[in-house]
Amino acid sequence: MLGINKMAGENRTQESAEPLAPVNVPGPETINENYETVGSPLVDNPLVKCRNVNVHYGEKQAIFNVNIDIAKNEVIAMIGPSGCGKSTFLRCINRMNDTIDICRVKGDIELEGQDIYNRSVDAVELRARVGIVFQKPNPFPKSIYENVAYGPRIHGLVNRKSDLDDIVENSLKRAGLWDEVKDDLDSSGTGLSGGQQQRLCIARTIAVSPDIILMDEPCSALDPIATARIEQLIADLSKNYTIAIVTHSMQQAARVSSRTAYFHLGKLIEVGETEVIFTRPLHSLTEAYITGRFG
Amino acid sequence: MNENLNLHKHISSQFNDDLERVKTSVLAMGGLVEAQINDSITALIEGDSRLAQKVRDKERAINSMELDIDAECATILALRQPAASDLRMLLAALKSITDIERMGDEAKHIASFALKLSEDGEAGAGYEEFEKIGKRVRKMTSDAFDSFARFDVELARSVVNQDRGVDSAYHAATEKLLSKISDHPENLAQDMNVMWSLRSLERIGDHCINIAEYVIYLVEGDDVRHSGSKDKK
Repeated sequence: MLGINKMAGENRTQESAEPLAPVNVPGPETINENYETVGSPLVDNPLVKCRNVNVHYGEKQAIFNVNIDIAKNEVIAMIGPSGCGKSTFLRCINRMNDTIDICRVKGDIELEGQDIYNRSVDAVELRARVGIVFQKPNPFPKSIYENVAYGPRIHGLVNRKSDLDDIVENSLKRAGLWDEVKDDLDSSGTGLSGGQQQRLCIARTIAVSPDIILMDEPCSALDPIATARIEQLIADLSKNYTIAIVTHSMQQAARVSSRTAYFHLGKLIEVGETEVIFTRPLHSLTEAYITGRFG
Repeated sequence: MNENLNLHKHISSQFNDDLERVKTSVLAMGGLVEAQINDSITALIEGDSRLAQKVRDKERAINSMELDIDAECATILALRQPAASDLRMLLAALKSITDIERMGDEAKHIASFALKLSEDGEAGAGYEEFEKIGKRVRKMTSDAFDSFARFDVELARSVVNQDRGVDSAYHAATEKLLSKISDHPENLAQDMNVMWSLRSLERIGDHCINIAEYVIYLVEGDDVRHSGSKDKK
């Protein structure tokens, strides 16, 4: 009797040699043209409202029928494998794709109820309201002061030098850079370290008081310490700004965002609270990606 | 099938191996504790002091396995930052081994009571009930570990349900034993040893429920612990 039970225990251990597999692994049919995003892509009173967004590069379709809202003062992370369309989608929100000749954007994207692709909307004005921070820090080859002052000046946000000084100081403070550069404002922005340059770019972005800040892999060129500073900055800025961040680092998405959107092959598969996405995602594709099961 | 949708394995085969090793180790620890429980029950029923001593001696090996699995899980958490089902699997493993270790402690307690009974003389009652409850608890133990091995939620739920039978049988047995002690207190020490052994069996059943609940969490992502006390949303 006891021997049999011991054998049962051993057999059970043998069974465990089966590879761990996600439950309900989907077939290709689950992401066909008529797919539906699972989770909670829509919110009440969104700041940004995107409906039926499709993007083509020439003949090639990069984004398929994406529907998502971005709420005021939230940090939303967009994740997915390389080429999934997350950066392409992010750039639709401030019409950066306008600069690519072969790129066509269809669908509706509204910022506070205004269609940003309406002909009456000036793309330059729009990009002041929807700022963007890129993967590689790209300060102007000007002084630290001028890097931050440039935006408010060309958008006519200030008349007096003292007001401009205040904006520069406040923006650098909010970007967590003021204490490091306050005595060197005339030094070149390109002379700063990579992490400082990225914070300078964030200061430049917030100097024009945007409604939303887009961040396209803002830490991928930075070391862990500089990355931690940017992540802390995102947490600080989220009290006053809405932030949409594209990141390859799932741990970063988990750390900084309150909602996460998962893109796969140009389709928005799942959107949900970050805590839920990283512990019990609804869609097997999300599960497969965040657990590293894509081969 | 599109290779991109071949989701059965992690890109890192090392990560696969790490998770499999944890799962296998948990089940090996469970297998050892299951044998300890079976042996302790047999030792008490048959008055087998050698078997009882064997159970006591093996307890250290269980503690050592718990430490090894703890360390392995900590390493994976630190190096891999697992998410979703991988994270739930590690959390379930970490939680389960605490319960498994305590099940081992209860088996050791039963073995100790078996030794006392073999030294001091048999109790006058309670063996029949102990054997019946022991049979139920063995089934619960086996099902709990099987549900972990197969990620079988239905079996895990059945473990939770089985505990009601153990609880009611335990309460009936203790009442009967108390009544016997009241009428014939001359064998109080021996009867109390059977009483404590019954209590250990009942506690093993409770640990089986915990493991079954971790399996449900692992598979479905729902934390069903203390579900009776949670506010309905």
